[in-house]
Amino acid sequence: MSEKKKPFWRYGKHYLMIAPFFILFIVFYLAPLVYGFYISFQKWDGVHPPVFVGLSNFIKVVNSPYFVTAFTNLFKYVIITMFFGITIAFGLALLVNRFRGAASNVFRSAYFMPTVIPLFLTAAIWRWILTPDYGLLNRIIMFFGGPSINWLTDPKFMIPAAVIVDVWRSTGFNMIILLAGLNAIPAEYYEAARVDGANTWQQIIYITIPELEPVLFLVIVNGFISALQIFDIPWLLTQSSYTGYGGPMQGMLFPVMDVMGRAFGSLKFGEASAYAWILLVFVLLVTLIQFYLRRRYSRSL
Amino acid sequence: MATKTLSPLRRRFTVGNILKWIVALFWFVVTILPVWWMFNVVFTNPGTPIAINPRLYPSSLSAGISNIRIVVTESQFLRSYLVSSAFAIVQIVGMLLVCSMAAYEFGLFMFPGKDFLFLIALSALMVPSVVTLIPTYRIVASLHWLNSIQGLAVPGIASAFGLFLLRQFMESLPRELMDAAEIDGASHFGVYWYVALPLSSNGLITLGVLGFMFAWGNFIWPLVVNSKAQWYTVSLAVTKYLSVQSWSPVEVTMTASLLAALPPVIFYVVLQRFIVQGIALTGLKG
Repeated sequence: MSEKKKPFWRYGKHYLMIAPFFILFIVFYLAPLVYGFYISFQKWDGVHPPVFVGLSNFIKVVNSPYFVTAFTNLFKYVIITMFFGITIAFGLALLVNRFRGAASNVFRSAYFMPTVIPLFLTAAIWRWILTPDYGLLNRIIMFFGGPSINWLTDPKFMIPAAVIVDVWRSTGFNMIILLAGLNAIPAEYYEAARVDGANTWQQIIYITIPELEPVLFLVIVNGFISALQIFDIPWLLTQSSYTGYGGPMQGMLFPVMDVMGRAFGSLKFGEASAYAWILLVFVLLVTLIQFYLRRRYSRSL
Repeated sequence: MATKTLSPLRRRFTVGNILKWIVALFWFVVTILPVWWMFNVVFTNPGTPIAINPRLYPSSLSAGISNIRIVVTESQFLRSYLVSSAFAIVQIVGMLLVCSMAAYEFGLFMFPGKDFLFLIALSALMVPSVVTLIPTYRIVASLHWLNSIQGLAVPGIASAFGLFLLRQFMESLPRELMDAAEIDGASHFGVYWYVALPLSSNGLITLGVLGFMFAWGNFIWPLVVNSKAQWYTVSLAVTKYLSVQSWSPVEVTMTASLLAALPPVIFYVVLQRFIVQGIALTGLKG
């Protein structure tokens, strides 16, 4: 009766069924993870046998000027894009939720559409939209009397350009998750609040946000993890290759791009692996901090 | 409460209502305009000055057709379509099979080490893909899988996301049904194949569509493993038009982009329900 008392081998059929997944998972995920950690302590060009060099890869990476630029860019980018991305996605979810029938469906489908377009195409389209003088965005700005902006070559505007493209593509995705969360909030809560005389803003602050908190948290955590790995868009917007990446003055240089360049451009696999592991630790730290803050904050709620 | 006393007409034209429509239409234009503009660039005579036609509407069918002909004939674009399709199909079929088998066990049964194994698999969602990229590249190279479909597709089959998504579906299946089938003499695999899989067809379609989007849109992995032009995926073929060495005019680049966008956009239009459902499900229960 009780499943716990069965001998180990009686579970064989279960292990057999999960075996294909875990064999592939070990070969193409766990083994590379460990192997990468091992490489990060070696000097290795991929051809000659690796030589153990201790922590020198990590020291070299942290002391290189590109590293500082890449992480500075990453900080700016992540903070701006998360702020606008989440705020707009939340606003859009509330907005779409206020429409009924066909209008609601049309807006929802349209808002989600950019997420369906592959990232590399998003970059291809926006490269032309952001072109100086002739690009769609600059023509709109100039139509309203503004100057033509060198979005892709002026370091002042390169991070904002990456943010614009990311917000355009990722808000729809977050909006869909938030919408599902909104629909799960019982309508009686709002009815009760209305009976008590709460206006729309009060309903949002006292019902929607607390009830939506688990979903919002997930969207934020997931948003940080993917924003910290940004690669495709800046790589393609700046016409990067393994030997030259990041655009003028490395204005759009991000860590993953630097890892790729060090690995496949200068064939420094050890340095690149060390760099990737630094990024991994950073992502884990950011995620843990969010879980910690949530626990602390929700206790005081 | 006050709105109830207003006539239906007055209610439709309150300030809040008008504002709501303005904001909604504004973001509608923001999301649609870039794609609409791409479409118009393709279907406009390239000689037409921007001052006369700011590419806000398509104006020449023949220009579009000739653009498409240029892209299809001048490069190996059609071949890259085949490569991307094969990549997507192998990866999706593998993912559906392998992930659903594991999800069946994690969703419906108890066995020692279950929680630990599931946690290990899910932890992969937190690890930046670049961390495993270089070593995976070395492993694929040592298998002599560079510039091949299996090199593209196989490493992505054991998807933690796929396992998680399908487990959400499998969990809600009635366990009694599985037990009844087993009592009737079906094997463990037989119950999975004949009972559990058909019942979770919605989940399988969802993962299939999302898997297609991931595979079709994947850029970094093909960039690393497929360096030969004859093994270019659509992502590599299109981005070649963006590179410094490319002197293709904007309308040719946009035509390549439009052709590359067609499959995912068609999938989205036809199977939108499944995509939205899948994303909402992983988001809510996560």
